[in-house]
Amino acid sequence: MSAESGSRIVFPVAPRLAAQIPDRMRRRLSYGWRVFRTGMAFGVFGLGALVIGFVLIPVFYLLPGATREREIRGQMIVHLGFRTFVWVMESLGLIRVSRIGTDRLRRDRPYVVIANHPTLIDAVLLLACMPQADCVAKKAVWNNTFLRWAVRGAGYIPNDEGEALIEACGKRLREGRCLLLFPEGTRSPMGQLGRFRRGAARVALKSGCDVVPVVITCDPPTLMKGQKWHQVPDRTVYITLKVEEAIVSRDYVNRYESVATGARRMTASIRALYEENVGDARVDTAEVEGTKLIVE
Amino acid sequence: MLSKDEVFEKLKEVLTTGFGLRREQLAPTARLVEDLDLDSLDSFDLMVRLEQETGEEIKEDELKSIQTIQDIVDVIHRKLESKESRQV
Repeated sequence: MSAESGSRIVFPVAPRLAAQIPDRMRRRLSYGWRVFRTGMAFGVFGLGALVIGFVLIPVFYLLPGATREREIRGQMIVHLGFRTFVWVMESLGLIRVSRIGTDRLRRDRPYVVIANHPTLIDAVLLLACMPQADCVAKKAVWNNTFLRWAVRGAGYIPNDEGEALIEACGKRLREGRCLLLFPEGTRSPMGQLGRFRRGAARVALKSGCDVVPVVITCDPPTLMKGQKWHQVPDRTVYITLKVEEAIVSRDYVNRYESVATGARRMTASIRALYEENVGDARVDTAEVEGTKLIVE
Repeated sequence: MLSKDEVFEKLKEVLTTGFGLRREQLAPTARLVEDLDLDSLDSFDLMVRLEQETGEEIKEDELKSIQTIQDIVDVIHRKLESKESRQV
């Protein structure tokens, strides 16, 4: 019956029949079945975004409270929605997520979470771990029919240029809120790191908040920049979210140095940490209990 | 008035103390973005700093023309020249 033993979702063909199907045909069918499940997951995402953006967030936004409280309610709804979406993707056997140290993402004071960006769903995976997080959403998201209302209701920050963006991020931290940023600004090149911009370090230094780095690895690579949603790998994708020790911003501030210099030093340290860890955090799929991969 | 060499030395001082760059990186032909990795925020800070040092506003089109260290030296030197000619 199975083309994918160990995963919760299997290709729906009786074992006797499956044995009679030539290998090549079986691989094609299994791949088609995986593409179909991926399409289902994206469908669920779109539907969820509509419900959250058009119903839940507006309804909860109308409840009494200051703008800050309303936005934080919106972020909690997004968090719960993304948790559900990650559960759906795991249940469909598309991904398996390992979380290492993600309890560090729930601290009682404002901080800046940063992460590398290997896949399209990194923000989804991280926001699913953070009940409250402000993030910077790019223009495409603000113009997206499914997502625009959700990002507005949750009070996310538009991806403006330069000082205005730094100021908007700093304001959220001063209000005691947490921030999620991707220093590369876009998805990482396959298996590598892109250029790290210094905006995240500047925000942290100006606000005096610590930086919590999350190393994301994805094996095999999927949903990379320029890839279509249906260009899926032939097996379950193992994603690891590994939260590193916080980088203390006051270690990069001294009275003889400008913020620009401190940001340069801090970004170099962050980059070194990611260069050291991007390979290390990869899960050995053979060691994940209860899963075994079969080539489809 | 400062000569171009003196402006260059002053600029080196600003870039090393204010932006964490090393003196050996600061050749006149060094490109601000590609070679020195200055981002848009650094460029903004640098222009503010230069305006404070010279007391002259750096205009949008002048900013756009700046690609290298030598370009900054030329712009600053020109500003100082015109400032001096106004005062005479």
